[in-house]
Amino acid sequence: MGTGSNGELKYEISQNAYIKLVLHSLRHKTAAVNGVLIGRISPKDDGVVEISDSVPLFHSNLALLPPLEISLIMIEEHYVAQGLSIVGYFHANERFDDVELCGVAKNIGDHISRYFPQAPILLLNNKKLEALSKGKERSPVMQLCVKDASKNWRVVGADGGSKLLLKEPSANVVLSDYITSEKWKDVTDVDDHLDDVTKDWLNPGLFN
Amino acid sequence: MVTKTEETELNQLENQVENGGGGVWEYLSLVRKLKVRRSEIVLKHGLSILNDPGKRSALGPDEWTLYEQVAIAAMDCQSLNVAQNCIKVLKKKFPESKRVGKLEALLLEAKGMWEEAEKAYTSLLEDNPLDQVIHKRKVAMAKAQGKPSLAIEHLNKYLEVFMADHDAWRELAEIYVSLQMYKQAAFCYEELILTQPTLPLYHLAYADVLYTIGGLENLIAARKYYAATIDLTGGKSTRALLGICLCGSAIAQLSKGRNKEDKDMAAPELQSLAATALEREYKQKAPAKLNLLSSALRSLKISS
Amino acid sequence: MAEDLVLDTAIRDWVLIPLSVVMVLIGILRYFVSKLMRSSPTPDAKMVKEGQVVIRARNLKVGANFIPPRSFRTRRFYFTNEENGLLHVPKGEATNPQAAMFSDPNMAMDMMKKNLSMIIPQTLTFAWVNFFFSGFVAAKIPFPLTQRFRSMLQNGIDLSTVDVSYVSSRSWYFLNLFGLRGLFSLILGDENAIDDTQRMMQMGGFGFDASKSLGAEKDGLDIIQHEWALPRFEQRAESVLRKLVK
Repeated sequence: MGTGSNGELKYEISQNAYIKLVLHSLRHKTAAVNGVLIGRISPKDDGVVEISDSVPLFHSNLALLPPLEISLIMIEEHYVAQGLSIVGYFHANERFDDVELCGVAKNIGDHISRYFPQAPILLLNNKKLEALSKGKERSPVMQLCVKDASKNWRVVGADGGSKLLLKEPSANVVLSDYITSEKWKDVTDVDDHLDDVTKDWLNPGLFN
Repeated sequence: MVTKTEETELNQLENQVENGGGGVWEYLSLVRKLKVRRSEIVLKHGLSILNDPGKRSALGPDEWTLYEQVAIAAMDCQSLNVAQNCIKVLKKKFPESKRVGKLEALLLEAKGMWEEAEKAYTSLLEDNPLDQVIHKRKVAMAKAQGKPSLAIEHLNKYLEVFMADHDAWRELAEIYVSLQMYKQAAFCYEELILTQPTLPLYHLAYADVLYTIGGLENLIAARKYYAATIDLTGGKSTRALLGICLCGSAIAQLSKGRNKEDKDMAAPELQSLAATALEREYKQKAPAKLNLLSSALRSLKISS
Repeated sequence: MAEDLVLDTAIRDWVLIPLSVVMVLIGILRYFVSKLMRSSPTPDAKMVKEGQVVIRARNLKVGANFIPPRSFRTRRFYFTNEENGLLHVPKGEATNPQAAMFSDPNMAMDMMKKNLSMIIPQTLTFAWVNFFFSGFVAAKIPFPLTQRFRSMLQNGIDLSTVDVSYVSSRSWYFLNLFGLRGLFSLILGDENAIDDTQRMMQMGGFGFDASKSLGAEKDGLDIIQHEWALPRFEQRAESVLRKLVK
């Protein structure tokens, strides 16, 4: 699959992966956070990337290499047994109205796309997230960015993010439920894990 | 910095307060003393005191301190009306006060009226050019507007005078890291290590930055600082142990084909010890992740 | 020669106690007046910077072995180079603190305020005591003293035959004046415990100290031998870990 077909690629994100990432960014409202997307190319249709899970990574000093390297190794090791791999990167900016992709995010995205060329970057859209609690926002509260032919990251914008799909259409409803019940307090990321290894970045109990 | 005992005390009080067990004023005082950011709880309970005339007047002169605290917390939670009311009360009581002036400027900031806030701060600085809080606000404002390079400029200017302020150095280091200006960040962390040579936190951060810069010399230095972190924490720092392993593998890759005699290059003993310590820690605390760790270490070609 | 003098209880009620009470009240009043008059000191930017430079240089000296050799050398150069090093004080520019005091009217004003708040109430009370209570024997201390204490305890009474353990009213005034500081620090808090003379000395000493310690720090940095401590830490970490995994 070359870069040419990149334009037609669709990304389908599962409810759990989606909610986990948003809750993580809510847990650390005042900081930039990031995470990785786990999934595979759909066996039924190779124009679709299935994002079936996600791992929240860090909430401080995102741009330092050692914690990132070790966490990527561990995550790969964990998911390779299930036939999944790292297929993308999630980033939430520190500031509310910042909709730019920063250098750090691009670099990490570049790194991931070396192993999975179709890897997208998902950028949290705070405006949409805010609107979630009020209105009936059906589309995901993230922006899809992909690498174009000239190797630059660009936002797949105007057409309403139809390339990024929620696998379960009810995901936003569930998400706003979780937000009101302050579920975000229970999210642990790799940062927490490195400070205290008893904390599990897989967040096994989050959706129970 | 908040110590462990202070933090447990704070959390205990917070629980008590959240469950309606009283001690609200003690909690608010502790938050002020430790300078921690618990705006939502401060706003909720501080406001409940302020709205109760009996409780409020029982505080005596501390009433005004509480107004200030609640105003700041309200701004942090974007409850601008509450903040505005608090400031109005304070303004009435202390019409000439610079401290209230700062709050007003802060409110302008919270509303996103950057130019007006800037003006207010500038006029406050004319009265007292050495006001550290205002200088720091200007840095924060630059950050909030998404102008990190301006924030760096302000911070550097501030540090020219207040060069012993380690909080400012730390902030500068973090901004540099976020802009991926690692060499500059390394300088800041060196400065922080100088101010508190026995604090493992800065050794660890410095090592991380050195590792990120890369290159054989930096990697070897990074390993040394990870080692210092291990020594200072008594081997408790997972990050430092992992750092040793990462350094080992990166150094081995870079020094392939070079003279292995160089004694500085490899520290096989330290690496295998770090790996063993990690496996031990995971076995005790997170047995489910032990396999994962072992295979990760294997892929770094460290563990057997 | 000393016969027991019997002191009238009225002396206690009308001299001893009022005198003490008045002294305490005046002390408190003086504290608040001086608090009102004290202008908050606005430090001068240069002085603050010098203080901070000294702290940072001291940190460098103490922690030198914790940073890599090259980082240390660049920092030392930054501090001590002869052109624009932070610790380098050009000759002749070292400020004379006394000259600075006289050239800065605020400083002189501050001192005057302080002196006024001290001297005026003192002269007034002294006059008052002299006028009303001169010549009284106001109290008797319960232990004997030598003749040397006569001038201290019996100021205002020119009788050599009275036992030294009797205290004249004027002396009681002086005893109160100097002896109540401890009481004030209890009443007014520790802030007041530093008395004015001490504070004045600190003020005078500060400016002098800064520029001189710049030079001292420079010399200290110049002679320091840098020996990077980190290589040793690898061995120490090894032994820590060995103990841990055992």
